[in-house]
Amino acid sequence: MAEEKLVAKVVVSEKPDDSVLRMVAEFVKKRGCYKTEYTIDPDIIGGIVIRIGDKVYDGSLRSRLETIRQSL
Amino acid sequence: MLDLNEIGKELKEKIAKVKDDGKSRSTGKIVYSGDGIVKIAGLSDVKYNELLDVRGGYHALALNLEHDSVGAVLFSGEDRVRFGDYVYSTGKTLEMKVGSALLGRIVNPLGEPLDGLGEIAAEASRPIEYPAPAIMDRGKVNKPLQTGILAIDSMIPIGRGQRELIIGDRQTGKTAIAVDTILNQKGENVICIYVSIGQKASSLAKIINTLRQGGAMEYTCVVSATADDAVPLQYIAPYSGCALAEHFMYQGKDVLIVYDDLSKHAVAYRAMSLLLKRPAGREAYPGDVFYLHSRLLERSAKLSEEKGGGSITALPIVETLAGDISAYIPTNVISITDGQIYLESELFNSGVRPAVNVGLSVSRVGGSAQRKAIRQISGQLRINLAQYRELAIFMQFGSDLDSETQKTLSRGAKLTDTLKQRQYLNYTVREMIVLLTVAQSNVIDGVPAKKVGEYNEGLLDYIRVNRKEILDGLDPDAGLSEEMKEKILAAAQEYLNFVSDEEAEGEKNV
Repeated sequence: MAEEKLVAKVVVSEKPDDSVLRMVAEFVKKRGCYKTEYTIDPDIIGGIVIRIGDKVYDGSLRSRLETIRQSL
Repeated sequence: MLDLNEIGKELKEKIAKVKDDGKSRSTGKIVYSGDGIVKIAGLSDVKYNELLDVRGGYHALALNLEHDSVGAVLFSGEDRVRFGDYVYSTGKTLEMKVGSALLGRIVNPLGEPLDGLGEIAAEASRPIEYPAPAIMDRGKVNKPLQTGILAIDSMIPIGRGQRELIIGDRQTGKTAIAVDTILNQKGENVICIYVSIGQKASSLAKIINTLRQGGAMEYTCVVSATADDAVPLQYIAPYSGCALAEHFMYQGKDVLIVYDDLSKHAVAYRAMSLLLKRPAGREAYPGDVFYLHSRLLERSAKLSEEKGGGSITALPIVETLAGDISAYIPTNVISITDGQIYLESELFNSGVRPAVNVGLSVSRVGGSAQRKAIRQISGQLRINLAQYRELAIFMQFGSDLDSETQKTLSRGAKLTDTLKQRQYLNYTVREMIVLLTVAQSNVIDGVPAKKVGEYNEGLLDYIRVNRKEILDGLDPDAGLSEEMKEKILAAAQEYLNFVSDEEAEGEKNV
């Protein structure tokens, strides 16, 4: 768990450009991570999901659509 | 024709309202799933009783917080969740939709409609677990809750804010008493909530039908978790119903809530606890099964005038096996409630309906809430009945009886007959006063033994039509005057003469 907490797992829908990489690096650094792992998963449709330890920052289009679906 | 533009506009408005807080959520992964129970690794900041979102749109309730995992029960989708699925904390506890929009509706324990009458526009929601009113917020039980059942209102009176247990074997009319009581609240300004826990859907459908036909659904909400619903839903059903009741109580209204029944509720909780691997105690119930019911029933109360004076009257139902009231759950609930109505299958089968065992039934607080006139004339009732039963047993020895004893016996039998009452036939307070006065007077001696029920019904009709001034003149909150008593007895004698004459006539014609 302790090891895992220091690795930020980032999921994006397509290859990120430099500005995104910089923003993510800053975001992750603030939360005490030294390493970032990127995965590309078209399933999230768009946006970004960052997972640090058991915290998840879900900014994906899929989860947004999901909340809209549930509230309708 | 559906207007597509209109729908589009509505959708847009709704979507604009959806909040996206973008905050981080604590997550975990399912490491075990079976029998509706999931174990989750992670979820570091989850709270007890917190609602969890499982990927795929399912919900779970966190119940066991352990060193390296969280035990939770699934409300749905137990055959869909898979090992490794993500679970998100919500930071919320379970909530029930509340408000007057729920009256006349049938809902599940989460406040979602089951009756196909469309969405419920609830004004608010309340947490289903809520602390009971504090001691200083409580008032004295001083208003009666009329069940319309003579045997109960006269000898086991129930007050608003009381908790009266209905206990008995299967098929002894427990639910019938509760349903009759709900039907009798028409025009009494009492909101009724019927919580069905682990019942057959067919019996519930029958009850709802009865309530609809009796016009009782207008002021009633049915919270349903039938036998085929997930066990956690059955577990939360009474708390949801109580949350709804509390909403009205804190508005200063009087509420009647029926929990049908708590033995099935305990069984549901036992199943959940055993699957969660909590240690089993007596009859395999977990250690906190007493607290399960005490925290629920403590929430029924009569609030003080400063707090609005609202009340929740609870009628929990417990089913016994072979009349055994010393089993675990019955003793627990008996000790929590303010009295019990004990129904016996022997009485039921011998035609005494409602099958109330007067000797074992008590009401610990309702007496002070009883209407004055009723209290006055029913004071001797219990003693008379007890004397009659004692004599009736003695009589079985078959010795010759003197006339005095014979009179006591016939009076007792007629009194018992007077207390018999058809289902859905509720008496008003004034009618009860008339019946009780007549049943304890000399007039009843003239009525043939087997015809008491018939005579009573006829008498009430006769008075309603020919002696209306008697019913109008009665004041239940004042004592019954001698003069009024005379009037009632005179009318009863009049009707008796009328009936006997008619009968004599009939025989002549034959």
